[in-house]
Amino acid sequence: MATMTPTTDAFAPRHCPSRAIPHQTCKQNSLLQMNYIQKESLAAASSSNESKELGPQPVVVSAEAEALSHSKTTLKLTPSFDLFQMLPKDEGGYAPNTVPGNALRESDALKVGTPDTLFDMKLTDYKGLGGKQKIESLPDPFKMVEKELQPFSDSIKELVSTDQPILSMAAKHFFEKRHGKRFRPTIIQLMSKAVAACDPEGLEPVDGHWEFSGASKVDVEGGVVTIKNHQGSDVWRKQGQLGQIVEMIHVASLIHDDVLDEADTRRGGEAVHKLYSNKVAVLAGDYLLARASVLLARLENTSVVQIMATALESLVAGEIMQLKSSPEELLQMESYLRKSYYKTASLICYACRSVALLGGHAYGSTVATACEEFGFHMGLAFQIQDDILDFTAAANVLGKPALADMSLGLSTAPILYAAQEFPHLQPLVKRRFKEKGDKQTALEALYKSDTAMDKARGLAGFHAQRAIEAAASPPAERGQGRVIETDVRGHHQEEVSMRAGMENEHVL
Amino acid sequence: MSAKLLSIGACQRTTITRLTTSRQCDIIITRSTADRAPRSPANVNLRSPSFMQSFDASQRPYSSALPIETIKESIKSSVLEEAAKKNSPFWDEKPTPKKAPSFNGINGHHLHHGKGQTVDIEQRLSDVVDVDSPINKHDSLDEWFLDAVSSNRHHAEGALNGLSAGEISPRIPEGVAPLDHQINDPFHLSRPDVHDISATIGRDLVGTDHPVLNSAARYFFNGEDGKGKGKQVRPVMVMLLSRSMIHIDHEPETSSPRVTHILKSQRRLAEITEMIHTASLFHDDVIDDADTRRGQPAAHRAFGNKMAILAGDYLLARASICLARLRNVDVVECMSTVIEHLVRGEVLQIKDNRTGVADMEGYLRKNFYKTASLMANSCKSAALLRGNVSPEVVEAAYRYGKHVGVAFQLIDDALDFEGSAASLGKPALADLNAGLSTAPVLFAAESHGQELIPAMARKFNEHGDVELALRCINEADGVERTKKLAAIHAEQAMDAVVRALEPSPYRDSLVHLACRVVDRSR
Repeated sequence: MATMTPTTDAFAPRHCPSRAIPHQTCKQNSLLQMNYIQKESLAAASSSNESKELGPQPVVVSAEAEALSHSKTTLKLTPSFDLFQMLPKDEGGYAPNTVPGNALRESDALKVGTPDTLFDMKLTDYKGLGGKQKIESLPDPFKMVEKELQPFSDSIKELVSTDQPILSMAAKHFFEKRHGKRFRPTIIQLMSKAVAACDPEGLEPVDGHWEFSGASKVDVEGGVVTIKNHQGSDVWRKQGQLGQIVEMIHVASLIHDDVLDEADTRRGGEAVHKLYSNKVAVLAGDYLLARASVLLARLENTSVVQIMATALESLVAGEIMQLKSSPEELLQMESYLRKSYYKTASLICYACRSVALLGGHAYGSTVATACEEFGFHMGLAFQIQDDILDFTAAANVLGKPALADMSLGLSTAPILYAAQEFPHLQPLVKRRFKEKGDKQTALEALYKSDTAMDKARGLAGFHAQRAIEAAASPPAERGQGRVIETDVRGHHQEEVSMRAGMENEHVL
Repeated sequence: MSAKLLSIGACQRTTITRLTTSRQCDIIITRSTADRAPRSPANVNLRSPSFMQSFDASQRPYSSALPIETIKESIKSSVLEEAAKKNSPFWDEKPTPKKAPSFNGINGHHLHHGKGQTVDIEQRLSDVVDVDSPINKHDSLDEWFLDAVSSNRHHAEGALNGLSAGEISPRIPEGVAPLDHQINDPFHLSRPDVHDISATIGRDLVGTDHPVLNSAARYFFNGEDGKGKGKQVRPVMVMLLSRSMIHIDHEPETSSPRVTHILKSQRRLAEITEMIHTASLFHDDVIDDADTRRGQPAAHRAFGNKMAILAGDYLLARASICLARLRNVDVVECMSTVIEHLVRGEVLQIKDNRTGVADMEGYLRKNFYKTASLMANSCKSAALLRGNVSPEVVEAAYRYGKHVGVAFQLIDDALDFEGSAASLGKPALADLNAGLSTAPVLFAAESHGQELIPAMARKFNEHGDVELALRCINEADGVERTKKLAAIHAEQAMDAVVRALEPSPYRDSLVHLACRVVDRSR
């Protein structure tokens, strides 16, 4: 049991002094306002202890390679799970050491100005989550940006349409069929409003270059984006476009996930048929990515390009992690969360930070960091809840669990918690439920367990709460409370309604 | 089996009830009695009966509790299967109009949207950003110099510098030093800059900590003794162009090329160019189902389709990251256009495969997208990165890359036929056997259209079609005219650099590189 369960011991290296970030390495960068993440030191620390236990971080390029491929004016991005807390304390989580990327996280500057209606808000005060307050007392986030997103479907269809009927077919079908709530664009729209309400801090050109701070040069009346001049400005349009780009990247990655392997093609009866599917899948995905990168370039902020390209890289890494995890990794909660980060949260949190940059906030500013933190926790909560629903909602709706993840051989939060309780599940997880009856056994154990589901929900709730805290952290300006409330409500509704089986609308 | 499922169902129902208070219970009970009130998705009352309706997945065809699966299913069922049908109308759309007057340059996308209604993306985007920046200058994409090789002007005067009768090789412009292997041989001269480019890419730029992705992504970069590396024409071009823009008088005896100063970013650009090229190879091989590439098994044979696609995506992502780090917005846009062009080219090729219509200009445009765009835009980016160069130089760099690229592909086409002429019966004629109508065939179709076009349409898959094509090509001088066209494009490329750049061994080597592209035999 002790060897198989991710106990606090497994994460002990994180608390070791060796993980502390040597600050003297900041020296060559200290001139710039940007936050340089000392990847070298992080990688060195992680390679010594962590990699043996957790396996490699696929997205992270080797330390030397990173060092070589940087000039003094480039950003260094760190996976967000090295910046923000991934697990609650009682499960062995910890708040990462302060590094430049999250240095301002707990700054006192955050709580200035007018009283914040959201201060100290607790998710657990709300109905369905243990409290009594009604969720309806918060504004509906989806309704709030409904108007802004109205042209979204139309324009994204136009953006991806080509003179090539195959591709426009693929792309159009895709966007048309997805009558969803447009989860990601909604977050981005709300985020852009929230960001507009914040004063940019310390925004000065570095060496005469605005770009070096990561912030876009905003061309609005007064030189600073405010709530009043935000709507309809260039900044606002660019942020809206970012929402479209994010959706395109997301869809492209889904399409590419769909590419079939040789083996599948050969086994199937309709080999030719499937081969054509591959062709179109590859091309349609490539096309969306190409389109996304052209549009990204037109946002005219290379930092944003770099951040979003990193998000794309993360998606690839997540897919590979899913395909090729080692048996031990399959059992680890942290490994599962990392995979979730790469596959889901990274796109959201990088997009959130990009929104801040487009709004004229420097890369390392409090606001930008808070945005990323919000996106990080929001994305993780979303994914965990999604995984829970794979067991519960599907069972309710369809009469039987859909278990898509298990069929892929993946163990998600509920199963992992169940495996902590019932050690006999652990070999099953390790062999990816390959043997006959494995799925049944795991399922029965999960439903027998008193705590597994609740623990998984607790984990989602933890991230939800963290997201709220992050959203409430930027300095509260007048009129901003409302927007932040929406953010929270977005989250909150997420939580509650997803529990009830509405998540399809959120994902789509 | 069903009994087992039932028991699990029962088990989970009770558990859930126990676990999650009365709310979930509520749901289970209410579900059966829920009335079917219309529901607005934006305003959901969690407790209302209409909300409960959302549980009924069957009501709405595209939603279920499993979003990702649903999405995948929705593509598969609606698009892919449709496109997979051999005679699906999606493949047989009318060919690209011969002369598209509305096609304003390579960056102007006139899009056919739905039923013929066009949407000008450029127009829409110009609201947001200034798209009239130098990178979107008008490009004479429609000028292919086809007239110069038309059949009734047999061996006539060429378009630019004139082609000597019988001899098909581009004429070196005046003022360019003759090829000297010590001074201005392009491959020799660029060696110090380019020789370790694969190694650097593999080591610095694409190295991940994930073993499988790592070996896949480096597949083409880590070959031993040049195997799998390819000719690296693109990095050579970028580096030579960068060097030739230094404007220094270079004395080959006293100083080696290493001493001169080029920007680090230009070297990085050369690497990015090669990465984008390689990423496209990964995806092309999956699409074309190719077996070998550069003398080794194609990547998807070695790693599987999925890994090859992911590795390609990974390289593209890495390339974009590296590109963004160059901190030059124009260059980022320039190079991301290339990625779009590569996809366009691939789609046009698939479509050509199916329609088999003789359209020389469409064919050349496809080649531009597939080959020349990368060369043109990376040359242009090299100039943009240099900074402080006149727009003419940027334009010249672009034209150089474009024309070399077009010539490069034309010669490839011609060589496919030459190989067979030299040693008949060998499995040359790869394009013809694959059903592709390349430039020589298209030239022949101009005069022998009646015989040839039906054969092209059925992809030369009937007995005697290949022989017919060969005869027609022979009669119409198809191969020769292809080479001539290539030579004319090479001359255009030479002209561009000679006019815009100061004389230097590097400039001369660019001229010789263009010459070499046409004069090669493999």
